[in-house]
Amino acid sequence: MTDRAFATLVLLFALGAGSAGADEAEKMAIEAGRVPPPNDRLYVQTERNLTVSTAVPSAEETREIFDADLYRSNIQPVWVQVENRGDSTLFLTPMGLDRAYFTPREAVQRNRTDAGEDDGSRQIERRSIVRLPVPPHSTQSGYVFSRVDEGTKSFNVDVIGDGDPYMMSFFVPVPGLKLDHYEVDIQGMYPQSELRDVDLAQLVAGLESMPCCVRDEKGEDKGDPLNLVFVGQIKDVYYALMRAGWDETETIYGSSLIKTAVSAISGGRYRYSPVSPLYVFGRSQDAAMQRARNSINERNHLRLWLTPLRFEGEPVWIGQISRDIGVHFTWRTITTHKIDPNVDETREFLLEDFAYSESLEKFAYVGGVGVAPYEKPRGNLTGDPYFTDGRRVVMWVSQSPTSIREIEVLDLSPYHTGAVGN
Amino acid sequence: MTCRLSCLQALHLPTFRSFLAWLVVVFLNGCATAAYQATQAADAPFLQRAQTQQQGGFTVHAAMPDSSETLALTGLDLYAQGIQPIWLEVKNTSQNDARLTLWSIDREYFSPIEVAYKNRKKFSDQGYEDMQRWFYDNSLQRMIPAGQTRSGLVYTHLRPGTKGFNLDIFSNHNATTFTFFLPLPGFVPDFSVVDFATLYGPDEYRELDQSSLKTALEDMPCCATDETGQLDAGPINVVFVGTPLAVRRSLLRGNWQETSMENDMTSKGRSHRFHGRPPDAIFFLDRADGNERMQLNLWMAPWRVGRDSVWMGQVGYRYKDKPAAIALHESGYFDDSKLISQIIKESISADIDSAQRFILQSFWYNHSVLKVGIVSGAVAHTQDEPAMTFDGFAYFTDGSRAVIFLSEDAVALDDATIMYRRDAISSGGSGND
Repeated sequence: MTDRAFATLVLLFALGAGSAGADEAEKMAIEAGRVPPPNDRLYVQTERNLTVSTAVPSAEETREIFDADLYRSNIQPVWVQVENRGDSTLFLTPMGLDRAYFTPREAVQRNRTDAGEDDGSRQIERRSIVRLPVPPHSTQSGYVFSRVDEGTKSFNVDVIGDGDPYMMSFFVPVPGLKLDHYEVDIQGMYPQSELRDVDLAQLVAGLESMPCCVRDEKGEDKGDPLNLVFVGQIKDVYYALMRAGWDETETIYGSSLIKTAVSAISGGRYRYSPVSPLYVFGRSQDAAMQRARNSINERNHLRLWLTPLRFEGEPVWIGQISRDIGVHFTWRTITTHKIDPNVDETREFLLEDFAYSESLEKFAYVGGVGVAPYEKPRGNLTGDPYFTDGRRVVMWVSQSPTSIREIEVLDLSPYHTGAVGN
Repeated sequence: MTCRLSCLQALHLPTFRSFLAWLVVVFLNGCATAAYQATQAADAPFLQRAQTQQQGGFTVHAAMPDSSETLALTGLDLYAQGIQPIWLEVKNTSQNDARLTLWSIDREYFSPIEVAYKNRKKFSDQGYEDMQRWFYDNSLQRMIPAGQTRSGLVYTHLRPGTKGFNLDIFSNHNATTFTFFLPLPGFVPDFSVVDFATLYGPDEYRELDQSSLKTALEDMPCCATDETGQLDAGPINVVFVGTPLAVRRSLLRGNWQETSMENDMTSKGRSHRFHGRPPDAIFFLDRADGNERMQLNLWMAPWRVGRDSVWMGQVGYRYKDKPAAIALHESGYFDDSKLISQIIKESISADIDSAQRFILQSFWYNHSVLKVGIVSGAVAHTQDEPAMTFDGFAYFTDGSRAVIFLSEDAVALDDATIMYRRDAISSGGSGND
């Protein structure tokens, strides 16, 4: 089918040219390996001989298209169109999108009730991408069934076949979740007069003089230590974390509180449980992310604040990470987490997670937190003890994939000031 | 301690004596009083099984306690909690300070104090403190200064059978990767009882190259058979080319589980025949968030490509726990064609091409693929007219075979190449209909 014929069919379908006609047009398009997109929120990237378009239907759009509540079964369809303009066959690998992607039949199995007795299963199967090869000078489109990411859907589309693989990252917002990330005005956070461009020595001194720890809303009690620093654009930090399996978080609202409490009791895996606000520079976190593990009782939380420092033109972020190892109940937020008191262990885990997402260009350590030995731990805002060597890890975010053997280990000890933040 | 005191005070109250006595029982049961008992890791008998590897200025010893040895070491039944400790000792004889990554061993590893905290309930306050301290003191440190040695325990997710894992050690602009296979006492992988050297006589082997391999595969029978050699046991839909170590490492990188001859779940697979014998090895890959299990039946063929062996495989979906309808169908007590067609319409096991695509991608993303190509040779069956194996599995397929050259060492994603390109265009991995 030519592109024009296909466009006509899609147009007919979109215009709703009589329901029978629309069905017929859609069916023909699908049989030609051309499944129409779920919405007009298309994200398109072109590289060499390849153009990839993607779109992610919301839960509601998914119900309309497949006549089944796939989101409820933790299945999120992603529409992908691959246009191969070259002379070689290219191969699309759904596993690049999600290592644990669902085959069409796995998606069907999880929706037996909705799929019903008749052609429900083929509805899903017909619209899915089952062909890996995309022949020369052709276009194919269809759905890959991934696990649900609410908020921003982050995924890679990998295509191999003619020379270097095409490896594209897509970040597609999906309606339905309110996220910290989008509420922060990064540009307007500091007036120009407060921004400081620093060299290495000034960076170390600046970081070591920053507060040791997060605070409560009133700024009185000290909480978890600020033990990590990123140097780089927030989009690169953010995207690298998503590649490593971190999720955006919701701020605390009623519905998510209930979901969190239910999840805590049942040990279920609610990936987007909200974080409570903690304070640095007199404001709550600018971004918060978490990485779910086996249950809600086992996850890592990360909070970041923009500092007024800039190193070689790049913004500098300070943050705090903790590993939840259990849950206890409180009156204020229903549940709160017991953190691993060995906060340095969690800090080093983050460094490794970042390194294996091929996003760590170089790293070093500075002070500023203050030593708290195992025998004399400090307490955080919920009364959990922690101990630490008092260091902050400083991570420079790479612009291009950096394998573990390419990482630079930087020694900043000549610049250490010995200062401990208040 | 507070709890015990309040319980005793309760005894002296004059009223509701029986109710309070009941309360006391409840409280005392809920009051953990145990002290913590562990042994010194350095003295543990399982260390005698340690394997040693040397590379890039590092010497690494690795050993794994089994379930009872873990209990003896830590005082906790960690295997029952899905936690498997590994003991490592790393000696840094290089000139540079280095650090190892726990992520490379298990990216979802448990932190030492997390393991202690999971087990807090049975211990007194002092008992918990002692336990936390023991786990902290016996953990493996990441930093290994030049000329020094570090040893300790890492807490990974339990894996049935042989424990295969990587260990990365890195320093400034440098990294070294180790791969270990630690045997679990009492577990005998099925392939270890096969004498591969005597499977075929010297005259039976065919020497092939990449091109003649393709022709040979296209001329080969489509399928494995039953014991009589007459009935269809499903197509050979994947072909691996590589040394036994390359195949084993590749499967471990992809998280495939080895099985033993005694495994009940493989009995059907073991009734399949190729060259008149059951599979030389059967592997499983379970889905974490579902009931699906992939099964790979593997035979060594009397073919060689250079120094590599050629392995014939059947890969398909099964279930960890069989749904009732499927079990009923497999029992063979009825032959309702309408029901069977409905089962096929939604059956995941019928869709063997999806399993083939999955394993191909899994090897590629786990850095195991040198070359990959698609050839024909099996017989195509449509969804509307599926084939049926002798042991009761319906299937449909485009009739393709994936041919994968596997590497012992990790291959970067962009270093894998595609073979048999022309055929891939016309037939490779085509659709379901």
